[in-house]
Amino acid sequence: MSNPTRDRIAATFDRELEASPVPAGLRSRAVHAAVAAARQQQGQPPRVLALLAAVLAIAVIATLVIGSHVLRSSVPTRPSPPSSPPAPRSDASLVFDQAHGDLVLFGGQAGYGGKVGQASDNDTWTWDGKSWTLHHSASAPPARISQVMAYDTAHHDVVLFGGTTLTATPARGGPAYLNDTWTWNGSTWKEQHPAHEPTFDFSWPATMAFDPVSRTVLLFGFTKSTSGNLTNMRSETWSWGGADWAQLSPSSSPQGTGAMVGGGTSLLLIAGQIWRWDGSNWIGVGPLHNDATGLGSAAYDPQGGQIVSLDGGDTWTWDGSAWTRQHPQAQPQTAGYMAYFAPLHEVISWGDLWGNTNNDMWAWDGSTWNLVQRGTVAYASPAGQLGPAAPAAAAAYIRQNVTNTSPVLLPTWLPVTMDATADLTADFFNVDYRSDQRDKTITFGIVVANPPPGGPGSSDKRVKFRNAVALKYAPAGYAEYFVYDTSSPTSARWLMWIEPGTMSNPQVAGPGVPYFLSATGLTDAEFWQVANSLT
Amino acid sequence: MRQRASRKARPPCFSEPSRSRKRLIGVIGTASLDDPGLVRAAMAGDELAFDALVGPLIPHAYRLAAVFLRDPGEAEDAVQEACLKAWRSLDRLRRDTAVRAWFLTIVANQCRSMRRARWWSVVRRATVERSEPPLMEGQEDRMDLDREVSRLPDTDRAVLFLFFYLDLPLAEVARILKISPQAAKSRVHRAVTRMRLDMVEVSK
Repeated sequence: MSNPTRDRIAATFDRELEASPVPAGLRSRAVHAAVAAARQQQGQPPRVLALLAAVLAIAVIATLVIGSHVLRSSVPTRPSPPSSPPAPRSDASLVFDQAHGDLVLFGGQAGYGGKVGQASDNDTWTWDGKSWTLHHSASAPPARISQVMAYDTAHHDVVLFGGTTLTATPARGGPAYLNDTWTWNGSTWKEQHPAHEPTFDFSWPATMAFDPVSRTVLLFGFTKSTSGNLTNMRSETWSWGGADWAQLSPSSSPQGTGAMVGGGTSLLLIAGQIWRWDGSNWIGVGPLHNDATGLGSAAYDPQGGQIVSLDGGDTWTWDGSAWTRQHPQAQPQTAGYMAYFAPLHEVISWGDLWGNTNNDMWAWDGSTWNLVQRGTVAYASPAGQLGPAAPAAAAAYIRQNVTNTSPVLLPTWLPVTMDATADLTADFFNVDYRSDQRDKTITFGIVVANPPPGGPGSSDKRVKFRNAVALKYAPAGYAEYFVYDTSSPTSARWLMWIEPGTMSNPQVAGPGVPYFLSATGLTDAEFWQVANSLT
Repeated sequence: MRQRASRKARPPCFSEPSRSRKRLIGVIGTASLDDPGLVRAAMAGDELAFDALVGPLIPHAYRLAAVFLRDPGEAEDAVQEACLKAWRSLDRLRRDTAVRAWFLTIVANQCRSMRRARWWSVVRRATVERSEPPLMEGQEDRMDLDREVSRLPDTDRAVLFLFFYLDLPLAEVARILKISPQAAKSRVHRAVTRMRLDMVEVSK
């Protein structure tokens, strides 16, 4: 068939269908209605029983209607209370409950940094796409933080495991780690009593999600430390089959904490790198993005076939092979609790994983974040912080506010277009310059630096630089220059020296002003061009 | 523990014409359209799995229904009803059956049954004609073609839509419309000849 013919007929249909565009939300409505209706029909009783039930229902409704008319004359109607979101909280859990089409939020604490004896919450909230509801379940897991939750697609309920209770103080004085298992059926919690259960140390966060391959809930966490030394922790993987926990024995396993991202046809674990569960082992499938802080949150977006992550103040997506920093018009100020919310076909981010300053709700539509519901707390950046901003704006902000120290040096040359984030007091400042994809970063400031040690391929030199103040480790006019991996042209590197100058605050005053310049992703030449541009 | 089902590294995309309507269904973890795990999960009531199976096909299903029924509201109803029927008939989805053909067949069946149910379709058809503004150069041919396509029998329109617009192979067009491949080919020939368009080859 000649292409012109194909194109002309296709264009004819294009013109015809222009008048009948695909209705917005049809996919969501059709799929949801089909599954809901089918589930309902599956659960229907036989026809005779249904008929009896219908007769009974009519009788009940008639009674209620008549009764309500009687009552209406004496009881004034009251409007429903406004749908306020839950209070901002850290260390809570949020999942999408497919069976009931809502988000379920449990626990956490309305504060930052748990202390023994500090109250945490055991409230259960659901969000149906429009409003929040606080549930008063007859039974509920005791108050806790850092518990893990996942929707169990095979059993149509939400599973909650473990956590840390802050209200009970065990004999050794530390927090008490829980290893109880609960399920949420949409209206109430029920404690499960499995024959086996993990005993995790929740001082290292655990994570849990449904594995579509084995059709079980997979749990990844760390065993209790007998020595109290966190470096002795060992990772474990368990699966929940609806009635009992079973420990799995993967031959390879992440050794750091992370977050599981379930969805689609595979289960991923973001922990130091991206791991995929192949049914029996954790398989490394790719690196983290360039600016992974370990404090981000992530969810799988089946619409875009991507992982969406909020991390380091940025939105990142992973398409299975590469991370891309997105440039949304707006985005949440904090890394929130993230989950894919099927009725809206969007990834939701609520609140702040790590603090009590934010309970906004945002939705990711594939290209930008949209504010779904403004929270009750006005989020404000901590004092003395700026950014991301243009380097010139950051420089002006720093020079205006760092008033107790002189000189205030800043680079006037950067290797690529970068944005700047500044953190300062009247005595000190620190500014981070980051390239668009965060593959090049420069950190510079007046700091008391404590850089991590280098490995066998590192290099530590004294190099002539500016008019540096003489110190025990370097003569006058020299700085310490450190390269972590000399075999890599763009290895991380840093430069440290004391600039002649004054710090008027007597508590921090020294022989000069300690400056520290570090970079990742820069060549040696680029690094020195930045260093030599300081004025 | 069951082993992970083998699957292609990249799920197959819905095969659309290579013009501007192309849409990438997904890259990681998304529905492989022939994934038995997804079908099992969908049968178990997993809405996300069901969505992964049929969700990407909904826009095409709607357009097919709109071409068939010539009424946006009815097309929407047809797609919703087809979704429900699709979920109920998941157990009849054979492993060797492509989800696309299976689902669009259900949509086409639904359209046919809705069309049979409405006695007033002929009356409504007459109201489709609209008064058009004066035509510019080149528009006249286009309008003639539009008119010809709109006058075709519904099944012929559906054949042309599936074959030319969705770029489906004739064998799949035939399966969806429950006609023989030869009948599908004849309908394409007949329609193209009637519209006085160049026919080179119909064999896909």
